[in-house]
Amino acid sequence: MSVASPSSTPAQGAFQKFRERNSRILPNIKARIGVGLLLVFVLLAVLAPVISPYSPTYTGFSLGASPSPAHLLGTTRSGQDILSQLIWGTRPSLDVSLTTGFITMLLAVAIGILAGLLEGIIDEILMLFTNIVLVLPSIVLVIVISSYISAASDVTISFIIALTSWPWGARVIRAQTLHLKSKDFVKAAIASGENHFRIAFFEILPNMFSLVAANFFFTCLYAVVTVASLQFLGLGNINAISWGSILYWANNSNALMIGAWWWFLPPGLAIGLLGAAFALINFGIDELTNPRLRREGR
Amino acid sequence: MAENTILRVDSLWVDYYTRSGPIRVVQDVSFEIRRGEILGLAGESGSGKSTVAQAVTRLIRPTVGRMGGDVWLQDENIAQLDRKALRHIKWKKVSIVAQSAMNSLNPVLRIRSQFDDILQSHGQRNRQKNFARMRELIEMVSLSAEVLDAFPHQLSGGMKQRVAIAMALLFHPDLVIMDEPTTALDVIVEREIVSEIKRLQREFGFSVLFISHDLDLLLRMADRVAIMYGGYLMEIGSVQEFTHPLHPYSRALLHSFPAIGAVGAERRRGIPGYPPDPANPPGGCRFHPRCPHSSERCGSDLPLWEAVGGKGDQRVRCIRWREIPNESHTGSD
Amino acid sequence: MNRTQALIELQNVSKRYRRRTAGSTRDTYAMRSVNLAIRPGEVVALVGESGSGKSTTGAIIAGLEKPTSGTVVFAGDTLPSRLSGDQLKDYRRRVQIIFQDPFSSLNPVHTIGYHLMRPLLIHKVAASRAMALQAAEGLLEAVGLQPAANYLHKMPHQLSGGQRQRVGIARVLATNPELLVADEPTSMLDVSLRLDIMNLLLDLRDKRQLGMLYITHDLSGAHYMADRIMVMYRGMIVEEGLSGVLLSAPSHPYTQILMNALTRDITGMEDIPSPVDTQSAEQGCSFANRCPHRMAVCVSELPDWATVEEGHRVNCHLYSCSS
Repeated sequence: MSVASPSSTPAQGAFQKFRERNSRILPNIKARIGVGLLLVFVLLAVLAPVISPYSPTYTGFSLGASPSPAHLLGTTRSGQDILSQLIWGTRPSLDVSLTTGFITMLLAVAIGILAGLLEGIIDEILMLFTNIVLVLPSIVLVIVISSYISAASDVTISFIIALTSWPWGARVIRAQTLHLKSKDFVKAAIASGENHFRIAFFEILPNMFSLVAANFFFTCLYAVVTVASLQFLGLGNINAISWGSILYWANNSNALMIGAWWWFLPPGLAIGLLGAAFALINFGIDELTNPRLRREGR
Repeated sequence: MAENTILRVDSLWVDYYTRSGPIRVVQDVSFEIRRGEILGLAGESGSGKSTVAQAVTRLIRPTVGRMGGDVWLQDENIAQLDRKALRHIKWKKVSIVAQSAMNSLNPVLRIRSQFDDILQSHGQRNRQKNFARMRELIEMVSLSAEVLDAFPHQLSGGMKQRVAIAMALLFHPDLVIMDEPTTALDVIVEREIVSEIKRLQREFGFSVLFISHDLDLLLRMADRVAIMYGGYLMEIGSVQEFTHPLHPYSRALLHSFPAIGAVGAERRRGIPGYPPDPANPPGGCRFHPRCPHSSERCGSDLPLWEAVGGKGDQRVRCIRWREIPNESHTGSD
Repeated sequence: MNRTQALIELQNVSKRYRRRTAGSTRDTYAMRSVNLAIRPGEVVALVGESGSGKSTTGAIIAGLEKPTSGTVVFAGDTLPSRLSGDQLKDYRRRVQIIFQDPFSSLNPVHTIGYHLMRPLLIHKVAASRAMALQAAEGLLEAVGLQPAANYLHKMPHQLSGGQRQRVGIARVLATNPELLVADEPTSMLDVSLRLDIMNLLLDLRDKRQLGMLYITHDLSGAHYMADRIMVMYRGMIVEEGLSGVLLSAPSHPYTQILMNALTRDITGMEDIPSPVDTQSAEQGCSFANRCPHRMAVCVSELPDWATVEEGHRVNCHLYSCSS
């Protein structure tokens, strides 16, 4: 350790200041980049009609063209503008991931808090159910169900993913509920006459905000990747414009083999970036609420 | 330095870094500990007393804060030592027993291997000799040798704290710093451990800096007592001198302990207000907003660390200590 | 003793915790046949070390735990084993609890005002939010947090420990309770603040004729606060009496050791029994295996109450044998 007594050099002091400042800002940087990225995608989705150069479904352009000033990302084999498809494709991708995240979060919060608060037989039944769903192979289940319902809509896929991925969050939320329930402020609220509903949603839930949010964004990340994979495999609606279906058609037209990078790379990158946005927000929340990182200074 | 002085702290200050810049939590702290004496350091939470213990043993990490001033342990200035020299004197010349000492034992290692680790890291590799030394120490703190084969969770809080004290004495240090070592324990266990510390200290002659919020306890166990408030030392003196403390804060603090035993406890007045916020301390004397004797000058002038004179080396940090009538004192007697 | 009707009475209340670990169940008794009564305007101190069951006793009185056996009589009515509906709500209004740790007893996401307004609204003490807000200001002033308007919109983390504990007291006063459980309300506070909080509680008792169970590990604090003291060890009340009387002649070996620890010279304490804690005997006296005066009967039988003097009883074989 170093002591900033008169004998320590100015450089040492500057270094200390640097470390001090960084240790505080770094955890935020991840969350900030994540939120920034997410905002960019949201803007793209909202402004798609304005910024997209052409209609994504118009097929009248020259077929399979390379990038040019008129078509910055070239055209497909059936003569559609890829940039326009990419921009319009942001909408379903965002939709599906946020919907999935939201449904999963609702299920996880409801079941987790209920189990943690009520204890006893209800808790045991709920946890048994949770554990059963937890061990179901979710991806396989999603593939089977969506191939059974041919051309499953995005909403259907959202529900399938949500129904198989809530248990993880529910378990964490139950554990946190049990922990918070033993706190004096919850006992005090009980003693002052609050009912179960108020205890759950006004005393306990607000203290788990970061946990719930982290769970939400993690599910969003999972949903983005899963939905894109399903669409790529042709299990979603391949005629709707989405990043996954662009990839599907690119693959169908051997874009990879003929080296048409402008066709498969941008949607792949978009999926990756949106996933990274969710992941970064998730990490950021984790670090911000991690007591070890919060202890800085006093 | 006087020959029988073990530790001399001179103008010690410590800053902690916070979001809004560094704040001073210890300021202008100077005191001495003599050979074979117990100095009790009393203060409330946030007074800086634990920070003093950490600064004296250089436990303030550079990411958390910085310190200055001199800390002379016999002829070495701890504040200036490099890492290597520091490691050499820790355990051997000065050791520390923290409030959390009982929780800082490694839960997955038996007590004996934890002793062994410390001994080995100081180059004592003879296993047989090491074991003999452990046994001797464990028995010294009134535990049976079986404790050495136990895991920490098998011991009660009091037993763990005894183990921590035994560890601190491994290398016959000159000074043992004890930072609230008994605060987490029950009253009876606390008094047992304290009397154990007294016995060991008399037997081996080491010096103790004993930090506690419990002034009543300190007055019964220490030779001299120092009182901290808002990062400053407010008064230091022998236990006898503290039967008539000079600083209004010392008096108020003594008065805050309800006496026991007397029939019909009369109402006492507490100290009004709240301890100062270290990020935004009051000007002048830190205690003046709560002080019953404060004058205008107390809010503007910082009182000096003034020697009282007389045959002891009592010191006080109060502008008005000469003027304050002495009758208002009420000891815990 | 029965000049006024007791506000609350515990009759032979026991509390057992069952811990299930891999196949075997282990029972521990937090309370063993506890009898206790508190009258209006009376402060009863329950003194004990950690693990003595004093907080469990408080939680049962506050209605946060249910006794395993025994009866609770509140204002003359025997309570059913499970309170519900209006009866529960009524009990919650009349009996309140102050917690030890001011840092965990306030919800970090709610303002001070919220904490005070909730009980006012739940129990319809205030008819509207505006009236609740006004009442909340009054409560803050009553506990010495002035100017009250400054505190209403603050979050708990913006207050110091002493201020938070005052908010905790203001909150329990909101429903105008008749009985207060104060579970070590000063032990986490700085020494200079303790006396103020104790005085505040005593003032409230005087003004409102509250009955109070003052739970503490500190005999001198108990002396300062209480009219009567009950000493608890491992789930058992070992001694009880009027404060001054009990403390001037502590009779149970445990109380004596506790007193010595507080008053006698530190160095003269070699006569304390070993601190090795083993399971307390199921049938016998809780203190038997630490007791310096242990007899054979202590391990096998629960002691009986014996009167030491007027208003002072002890639960120990030493006294029941001799008298």
